[in-house]
Amino acid sequence: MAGKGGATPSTYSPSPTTQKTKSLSFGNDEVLRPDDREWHQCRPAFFQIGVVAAAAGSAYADFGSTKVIVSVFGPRESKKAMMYSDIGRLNCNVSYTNFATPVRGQAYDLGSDHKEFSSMLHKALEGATILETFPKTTVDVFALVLESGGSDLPVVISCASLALADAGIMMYDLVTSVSVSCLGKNLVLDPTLEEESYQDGSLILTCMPSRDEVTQLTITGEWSTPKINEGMKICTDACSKFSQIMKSCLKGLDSALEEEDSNVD
Amino acid sequence: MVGLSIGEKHFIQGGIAQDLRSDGRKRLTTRPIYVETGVISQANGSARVRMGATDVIASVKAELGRPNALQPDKGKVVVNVDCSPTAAPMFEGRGGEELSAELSVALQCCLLGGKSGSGAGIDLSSLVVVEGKICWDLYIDGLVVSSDGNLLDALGAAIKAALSNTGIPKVNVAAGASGDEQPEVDVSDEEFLQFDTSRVPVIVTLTKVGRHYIVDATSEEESQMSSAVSISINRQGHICGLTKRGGAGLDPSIILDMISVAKTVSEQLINTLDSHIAAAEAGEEES
Amino acid sequence: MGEDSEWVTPGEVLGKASKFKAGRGAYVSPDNLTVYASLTGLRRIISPPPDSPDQRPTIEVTGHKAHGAIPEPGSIVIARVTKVMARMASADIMCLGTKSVREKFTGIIRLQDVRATEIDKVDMHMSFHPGDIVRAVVLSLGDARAYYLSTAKNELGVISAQSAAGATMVPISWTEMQCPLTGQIEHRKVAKVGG
Repeated sequence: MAGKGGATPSTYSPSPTTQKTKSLSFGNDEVLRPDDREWHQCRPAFFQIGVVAAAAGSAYADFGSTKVIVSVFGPRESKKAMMYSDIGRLNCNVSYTNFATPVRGQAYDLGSDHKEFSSMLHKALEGATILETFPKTTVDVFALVLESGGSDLPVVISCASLALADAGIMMYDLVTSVSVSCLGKNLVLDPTLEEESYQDGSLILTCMPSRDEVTQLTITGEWSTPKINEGMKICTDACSKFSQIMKSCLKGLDSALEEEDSNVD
Repeated sequence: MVGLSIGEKHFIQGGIAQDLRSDGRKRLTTRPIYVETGVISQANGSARVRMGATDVIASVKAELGRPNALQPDKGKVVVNVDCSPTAAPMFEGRGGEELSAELSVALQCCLLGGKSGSGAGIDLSSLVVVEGKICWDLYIDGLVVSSDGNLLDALGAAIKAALSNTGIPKVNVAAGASGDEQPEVDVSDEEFLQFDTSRVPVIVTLTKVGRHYIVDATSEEESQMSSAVSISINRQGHICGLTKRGGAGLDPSIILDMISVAKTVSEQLINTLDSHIAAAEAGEEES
Repeated sequence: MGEDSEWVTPGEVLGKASKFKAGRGAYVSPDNLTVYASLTGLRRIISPPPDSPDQRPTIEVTGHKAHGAIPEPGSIVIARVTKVMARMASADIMCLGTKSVREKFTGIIRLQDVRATEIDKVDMHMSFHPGDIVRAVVLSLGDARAYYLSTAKNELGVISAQSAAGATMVPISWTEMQCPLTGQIEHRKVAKVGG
């Protein structure tokens, strides 16, 4: 555990386990979600572009307590070890800050979480990027999860596509991603970390909203076909709403105003 | 990847469009499956599955360990896949790492279900010996011996067969241990408990080439794919996991269509696999 | 299609492929023959030149920042020589046309691409020195490591070089430059600048 050094800490540091009362009874229709959302309601979403001056393009996104920042560099020369390629490459990396999780550095203890996310981010973006427009070179996409509050990967994916658009990389479409958790018989859109820890199954859908194409779909847990139907429907609806927010962010409309309007229900 | 000429590419794509593939199969016909069980005597359970030139081995090893503090009533399962350089020279050194990682993640997603364990092929709570203190850790290792496409389905089938072949030793817990002490255990080397594999799903990968999708693609056909969807389905026809490969986008209705096709294919696959596993088990006992 | 300029974002529908051609920052989807934007920026419609056979106007998206320029075959670059070897010289590309690059790109000038005539008599060390600024054309994307550059034209070659004494030298012929301080003559593949 953190904070077990020899010296007595002069400030009070609460033990992470006592922060929350974990007595949620899901599966009951009357029970609202911990943050008073409807089952099919997203957290307020906020996007901003151009937050990192050094990068060719960058974006910041926060969905409730999930906060991520993505920088895009390049196109630049590929690493020497790479083979020659007629088309461009995307190099994606997702990392967590040490303070992103309730227990410090937890994301690393969980093993290859970020490595897995990196490859999933790559898969989600490569189909939407026009790689032919930057032959032989590499575009680096670095994502940093500042705070993990659930649905981390979908937020990273949406934010990364915004950063790519900000960098002026040619894309077929923006990429938006959203997840639903299956809690008992309810489908919960955009789950928080707490809800994710109780989930029976999850569905992450990544799509290109203007073209109505699914670029990535990952399902875990047991699902019946009607439930998959319903889940995908909820996700595509939410994705198209997010794309509106992302578009207005790119068009430079007043982002403070967006924050209030962004309650997707 | 195999270098294909334009003519060969057209031949493969054209064949798929006309529902007659290069090896004479229809789009939704799988290659014959050969299953052997108990191929590795060191492991608690093992199986070798061949589909055409694809050849994989799965082994299951059980070790006693401590349950995770957060989930005291559950055992642990670790899935790992190794791509041997004997299968293809490109797997040498770190070359196979990316594919190995991708396959491991996909198998984990397909076999272990959600966080609460729903849809899991392996019931983690059955692996507990003493709650919070002792549990079985299952190490499932897949090895790609020879690769000719459709590795994920083959590995899924091999793991299912290996789990059917797995005997977990019976454990007698010495009474009297109390409090925080780790209880003493006696692992029997004669009595084994059979593993319940009725819930283990099979994996069906539908590879989209052109406008059509095919099952059990060879590596030549895989080189022409635009995207592939792997769906794991259990005996009840429920989906236990789904992953997509390849960057190209798919219309949501096509995905739903693929799911229903995969269901039909999976029924046949489960039946074939079960009868093969039963035959292999019977054959092993005789010899 | 309404007013002439409007902000669009990637993926936005710009029009039907039967009515418009896709210009910069736009692409045509082969599935439904629709022109989409691929960049963020202002939509502009450019009328076709009156004599062209295709009378569809071109739609392009410009205005917002595009990604940094990347070398492509045929582009004229300004590069600084970093290393001279017996069979080739490597150089860092600094400018593409009139734009400076944001990221570093490496190019190499091979022995056979130094000049157009008497290729067999070229001596690399008599053509370039490390630190020289050269103007070159990108021949091809090259190999995994570098772009292939060529100086085999009169207007290509060294445009600025320093002598051993540290002064900027003055070109005196196709193959020689002279130091204004010491009068020493050094050999270079000199570019014809101006005129």
